[in-house]
This record gives sequence, structure tokens and C-alpha cells, in this order.
Amino acid sequence: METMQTIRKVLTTSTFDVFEKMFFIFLELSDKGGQQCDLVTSISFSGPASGEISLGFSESLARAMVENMLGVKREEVTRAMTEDCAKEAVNMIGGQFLRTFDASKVFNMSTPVCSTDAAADQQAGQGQAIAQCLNFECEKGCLRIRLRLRSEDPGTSAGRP
Amino acid sequence: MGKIRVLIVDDSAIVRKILSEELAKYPDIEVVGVAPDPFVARDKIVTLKPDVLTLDIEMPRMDGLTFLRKLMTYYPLPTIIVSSLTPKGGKLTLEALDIGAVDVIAKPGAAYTVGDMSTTLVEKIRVASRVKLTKRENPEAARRVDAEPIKALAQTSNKVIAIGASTGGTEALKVVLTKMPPNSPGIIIVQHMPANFTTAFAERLNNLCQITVREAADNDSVTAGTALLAPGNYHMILRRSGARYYVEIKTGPMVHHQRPAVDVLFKSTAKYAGANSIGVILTGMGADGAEGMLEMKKTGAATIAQDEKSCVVFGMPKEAIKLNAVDYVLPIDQIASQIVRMV
Amino acid sequence: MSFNVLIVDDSFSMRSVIKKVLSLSGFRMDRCFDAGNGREGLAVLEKEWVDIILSDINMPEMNGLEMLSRMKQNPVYQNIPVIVISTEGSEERVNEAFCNGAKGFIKKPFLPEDLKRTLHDVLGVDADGNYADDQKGSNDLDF
Repeated sequence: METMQTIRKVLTTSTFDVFEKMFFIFLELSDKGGQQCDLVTSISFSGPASGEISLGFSESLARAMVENMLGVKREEVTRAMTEDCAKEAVNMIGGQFLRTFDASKVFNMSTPVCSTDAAADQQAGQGQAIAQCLNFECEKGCLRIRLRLRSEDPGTSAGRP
Repeated sequence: MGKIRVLIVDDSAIVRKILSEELAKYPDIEVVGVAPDPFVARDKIVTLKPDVLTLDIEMPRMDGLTFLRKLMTYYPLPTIIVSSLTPKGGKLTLEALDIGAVDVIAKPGAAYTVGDMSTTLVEKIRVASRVKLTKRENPEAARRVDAEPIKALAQTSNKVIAIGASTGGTEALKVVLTKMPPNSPGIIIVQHMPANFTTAFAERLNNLCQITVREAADNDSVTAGTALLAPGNYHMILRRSGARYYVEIKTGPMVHHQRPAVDVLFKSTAKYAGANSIGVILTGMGADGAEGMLEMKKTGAATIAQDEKSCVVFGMPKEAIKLNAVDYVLPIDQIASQIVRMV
Repeated sequence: MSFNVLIVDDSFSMRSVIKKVLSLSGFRMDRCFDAGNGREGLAVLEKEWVDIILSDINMPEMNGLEMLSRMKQNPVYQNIPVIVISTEGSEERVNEAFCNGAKGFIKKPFLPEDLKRTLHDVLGVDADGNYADDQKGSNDLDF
């Protein structure tokens, strides 16, 4: 249980860090669940532990991220830009989370992809359970983070030599 | 005709100042800029579009060779290397010539004043400004073009092959000598080059060739499978004692402003080897070697000149051709096989 | 003095941010090229004079480490300093990057100062773009 506490803490600080440094957005933890996610991006990792991190954004938050990161006006924001920013966000949070958790271990990270809640939920049926679910909010909108871990499988969790 | 626009790249403020002042004395040359490092140099190359670059190859904060490689890849520009007379400078300079620098000039030293240097430098800048450089292909690809070396000759011959070269000669000699078979007839070479660079140049060739290449010492025999390179600042003269050919290395007045001079080598070859020799004149500015080659031809020697297309500077071969001293005018990559056919 | 920069990252947003940070930081950038992966990066190098490269590791088609090892085989590219900017930050990956010839490593997310400092460390120039060892007065001979 103690590990889960650490994971939660590292995931939270990683998220704050990425949003503050790269998007100039100051999030707060929220206990409201079940918000609508207009855009979901995820990244999977394998190594000493395997699983997936997914970010669900409200449309308004995703647009705010683009405006802040790229310095463009609201009307200039395109779908491609929001998807690119949202993928980069999950990429950075994933990387930051894994290296903060244990920098001595090598995790292989996939390229981030855009997905949907429905597609992400299917993963649950493939031996990946939601280990953590965090909700954040700010005046720009809200964010949900899910960490799924693959149940112990010696064949795949051995990682790189 | 417009002035020749020169950019000076040197990390020493003093050298930049001296070179600028010296070159300012010549009305056909304009120093359009100076640069203390590669980044400034690149800016100025792009904005000032110089015709010729002088480059100090030994700079503490910049790898001159790396800079030159980039230059030859992205903005090919005739470049003259300014180098010290140290062994390290010599090695770097040869590599620079390999990469595509047109010529080299030694920094002023004890016996070599700034005035001496500027006269030579101006001459080299004028020549360099007329050199057409093309973008270099990937260096590896260029190396592959070099044809296979020629296999050993059926019979060893006691002929003497005398070769003279100047600007562009380091590359040209490499092309010819790397193809020569291990039992090639003895070769004697004059390459115009500042003193001290010849040692490193001979070593470098020796590593690349099947034959032995070394800087000549006084009284060295001319033997099959060996090429002797005249040391910088000395003339090399062919002599004969019975059946043995050997060289004399001696000082003496400059000939065509050169020491070693090709004419000195060729004239002695005409006298002592005559019809038993082959003369080869390669790329270079000026007229050194033309008269000597004519004397060789008159005694029955076979003579070859590098063709205009493959020359960096079509000066010395052109003069020799003008005197009707040349039997064959050939592209550089065919000269070795022609020599082998004739021995 | 100014530098030609190549930014290699598969994210358009990340390339824009790096470029923006570079221009805001006072870094003397002349031209800025960008590429979406290692292969595109090498294609830029074929045509353009690049002084420094900022590259991601994880990219489709050709990743940053492979681009580094290809660069090492080419005498024209092998001395171009490369700073890796990556989300991957395990000690082993950082080492791998340095072994492949990287001169600096910046972890994403980064602050503008991180980028600026690493650039100057790698290029050996101070915040004003001057070389640390420049002697006084050496510039008054420049035209």
C-alpha cells in the first residue's frame, strides 16, 4: 500500500511540474470524478513494470494548453495542435513519473497516441487494472489521469537486461 | 575586373591585423572581413560572399578541420591554409589539403619575414580566386572512385620517374602514387611545399601507397618500389654513379621562386637518366618544370602532363605543353597506368 | 556571431516551444531548421550548415540515438554538438546518449533557463554570446 501512496504522490507532482513548466497552467487536485473527457491521450510503458498512463482533457483545458504553449490566439488553435500538445503532455508526464519513481531502471515508452475513453477502457479487459485515478481542475477546465498497471507477469515484466 | 574579395579566419587578433594590413597594399585584393571563430566566419561568408578564404588551421577554440569540412560541403570556397611550421601544423595542413583546401602558406618565422609571406600569399590568393570548386560529394564516395592499384609489374625496371607538382599537387600525387605497383621503378618527386610539411606529407603517402614513400636524404639511392620526396627548402638533383642512380639534396638559389624547384630536378634527370626516364608534370601555378621537361624530352625521355580538366591550377602543365615538351596530356587518374605501360 | 540550429522532435508543439525559448533567451540564432525524426534530421544536415542540434530520443522512423550514431560515421557531421531533450531520463538512457556522442541532456519538462544554460555550456559561450576566454580588445580589430 505504501508503494501506491508513493506512486500517487509522484504522479501528482509530475503532473504539476509538466503543466507549470510547459503550459503555464496551475492545476489543483480535485475530488470530483466523472467529468466529461473530450480528448484522451495515452502512452504505454514496459520494463520493470508495465502499463499505461492516460490523460483525459476537457476541450477547454486542451485549448488553453495550446494557447499557452505555442503562444497562439484562441481562434488559431486547430485540432491537430490540441492533439499534438495533449500527446506531448502525456509523454512528458509519463517520462517524468517513471524517472522520478526510479531513475536507475529503464522503461521503454511507446509513442503517445490519441484515443477515447471507450478504447482505453477495453484495455482493462486485457489484464490492465486502473491502479490510480487522479482528477485535477483549474479555471481553464479539468484533467483526469489514469494509471493502469499490467498484473504481474514474469514474462513481460522482466524488462531490458 | 573586380578586386579579389578575401576573408581572413584566424583566432589571433594580431595575425588578423597583420594579414589585413599586408593585403591592403595590393590594389587587386580587398580584405572584406576578418573572423575570429567559425561562427562569425560562417556569417561573414554568407553575407560578404568572399572569393577566397585564408584559414588558420590551429585554433585553440575551434577545430579548423571540422570548419573546413563543413565549408567544403556547404559553401565550397577556395581556401588557403595558414599554418605553423610545427609537426602538428604539418599534419593538420595535409589533412586540410585532403579535405579540399587549395594551398598552404607557412606563418612567418625566423628566416621568413612577413614581407616574404605576403608576396607569396598574394600570389596564392590570385591563383585560388581562379580555382573552380564544386560541392564535394560525401568523402567516402570520393574515396571509392580511386581505382584499384596496379598489380606488380612482370619485370623490375631501372627507369627513373621524375614528377613535379605545385598547387593541388598533394591530391594529384596521392592519386598517382597510390596506384603504382609495389615494384614500380624508382620515383623522384618535387612538390612545392613549405619546409617541414614535406616530412609529414611523405609519411602520409607512405601509409596510403603500396610503394615506399619517404622524404629524400642526401645520397639516397633511387630504387624500385620507392618514391623520394624532395624536402622543403632544398633542391633535389638526380646523379648517377655506374648503374646506381642517387639524389643529392642541396640548398642553392631559388628557381622560379621555388626551392625545391621542378626544373632543377628535371634538368638533372635529363642529364643523368635521359631516355631512361619518364617526366610527369602535374597541377600547379607558374612555369616551373616546363624547361626541364623540354630538356628531358630532347634526350629521349617520355613526358606526361596532367590535363586541364583534372588540374586545380593548369599552369605548369600548360607551360610545358606550350614548349612542345609533352608527349601525353592525360587526366590525373590515367597517369599511373600510362607510366606503367611505358616502363 | 550566430548559430544555425536544428531541432529534431516528432512533436510540432515541442519544436515550436524550443524555438521560442531559444529566441527569447537571447541565444544568437541565425537559421533554425526543424525535423520530425532522425531521418529527416540527417536530410537537413545534407543540405544545411548546422552548428548545434537539439534532439528528442523517442521518434518514429529513426530515433535520436540512431541519428547520433549515424552522425558519428560522417566526418562532416561527427563534430556537431547534439543536446538531447527527452522525456526519457533513466540513468541508463542518459548514459547511452552520452556514449553515442551527445554533449548535453535536458529532461522534459524544462525551464527556459535549463535550455539556455546547457546551450552555453555546450557551445562554450556565456549568456551574452561571448566566449569565456575572449581577451579584452580582441574585437576592436573586427570590421
